[in-house]
Amino acid sequence: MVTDTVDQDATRALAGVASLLWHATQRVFADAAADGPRSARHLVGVGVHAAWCDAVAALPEGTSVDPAAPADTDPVRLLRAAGELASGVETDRPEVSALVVVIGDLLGELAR
Amino acid sequence: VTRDTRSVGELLRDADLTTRLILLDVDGDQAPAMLRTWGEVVESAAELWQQLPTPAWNPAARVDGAAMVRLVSVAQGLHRTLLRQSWPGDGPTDERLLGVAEAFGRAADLVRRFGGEANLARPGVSADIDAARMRIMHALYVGAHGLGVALRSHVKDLQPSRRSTGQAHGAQAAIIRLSAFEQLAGAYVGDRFARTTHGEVLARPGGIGRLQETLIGWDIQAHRTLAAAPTPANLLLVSRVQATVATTAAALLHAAARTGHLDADTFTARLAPTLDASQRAWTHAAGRWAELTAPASRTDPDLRHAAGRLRAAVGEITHDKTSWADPETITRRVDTAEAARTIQQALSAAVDLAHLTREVAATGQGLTGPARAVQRRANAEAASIGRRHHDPAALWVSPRDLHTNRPVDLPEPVRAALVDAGDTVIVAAATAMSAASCLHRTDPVPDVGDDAHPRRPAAHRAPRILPMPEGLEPSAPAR
Repeated sequence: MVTDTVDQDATRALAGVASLLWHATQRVFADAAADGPRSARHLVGVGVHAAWCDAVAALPEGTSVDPAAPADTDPVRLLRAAGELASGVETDRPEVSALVVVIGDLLGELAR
Repeated sequence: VTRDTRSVGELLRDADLTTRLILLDVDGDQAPAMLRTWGEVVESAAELWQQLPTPAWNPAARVDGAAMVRLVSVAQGLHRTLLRQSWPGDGPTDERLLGVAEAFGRAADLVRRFGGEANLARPGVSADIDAARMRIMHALYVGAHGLGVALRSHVKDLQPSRRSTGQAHGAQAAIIRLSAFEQLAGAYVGDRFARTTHGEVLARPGGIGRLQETLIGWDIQAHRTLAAAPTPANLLLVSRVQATVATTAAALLHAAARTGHLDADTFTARLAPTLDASQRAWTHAAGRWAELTAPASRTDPDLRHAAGRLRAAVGEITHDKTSWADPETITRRVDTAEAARTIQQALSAAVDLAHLTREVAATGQGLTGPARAVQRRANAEAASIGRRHHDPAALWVSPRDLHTNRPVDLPEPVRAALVDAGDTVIVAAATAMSAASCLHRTDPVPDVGDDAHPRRPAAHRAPRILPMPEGLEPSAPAR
């Protein structure tokens, strides 16, 4: 079925988004911890963490997410990759659109 | 469920957006419910309009007031007509329009409580109020148009045999009255919408009141979530947000100290070290919970949203994009004396949350983690406490579980590490709370924050029928 294929593709892509956001979250908090307890990055970290929560919530129950860390450890590039992947997901589900917006907002915050 | 913490500006933009969305998705079947709800929308809008401060020196204000009086009058006429005729009668209301009415009502309540603080002489405040009036009128204009579209579609959808019935006549009468309403509102909006809303102050800080509300909301939600679902993913978010609360407390008090609102020595010697220690303790605990959280782990959506609201409230006070705002900016945005009290409360609440997370670590049923992470942590803990006969290759989980990396129960060393982390958080949080007990001695300073935007949300107003708001009567006797 074409629909099934599309749904499977969308799920696979969303799982990729969740994985990228998970690793971006870990990197942002690692950087914040390295900066120290007064780092302004802690608040950014909460935003990226929330985006990861949203990505997982958009996945069908039981979907596996690749835990392997990507080679790139730069959180902004991870976030950008997640945004590109999410915006290419072919679905009309509003939570996916909302996720794209959330990631876009975070990238906007991080852009100097 | 936490309280609505939207500012007046946000409520008005939401109301305006909702009416636009209705216009995009409207059909004849929705007409009866929309018509039943329309009166409440206008009533709430008029109530809000009446609450908005009016500069005495502005002659246009009288004209603006008259515009709303006329709209209320048209809506009252429509309301009376609907009461007389059999259609649409009693029945369900339209949730979207109810949302618009509620947004107006909530905004009116906020303005009633806090609008007296608005300094109309301040640059931008008057323009912001004009923008608020324009948003209200635009929402009514678009809403009336949407309702008109629904009614016309409803009439069109009627079977030819029913086109002379009371239902059709009622709908036609409503269409005519709504056309008048739409024209009146449209005359006000004219081509001024874009220009006037340009004066709207966007993303103004909601002030310390909003931070206080979101901190309370966060605390309540964290307790609820951990009571219902004490999973590593939820504990991870709780710990990270609590660490961020400690960071925020330090930033706000640092700003107060740098601008002379708090004794600098007290901050440096007493407050800062304890807040930093508390932050590190929560961060350490978060690290432990992160190990037990898989990338596919789900977080309670209510907890996630409470965290998002808190992040927004913190960010608008303490941050400029991703960097700290300078201390002078922070103290311009909020009353530091009020901020100090809010921090004091948050640090007290943090102690209770610390106890709760420690309790979950010690006794929580069903706590699991990915097999490989559990194995690594168990081995590391066993080695660090120098267990006798510790074998670095000891298996705390089965090879089969390690192979599949499925979630497994936490063995004793992992539990012990979590309890240790919890104990550290409790001590650090209690020390920070104790240090913060001096904060009531900060000097109150005038709040130079956002006069046009009230700080605290308030309870909803309620009435459903359509009285003319006090003071809006077209022929009110002169006093």
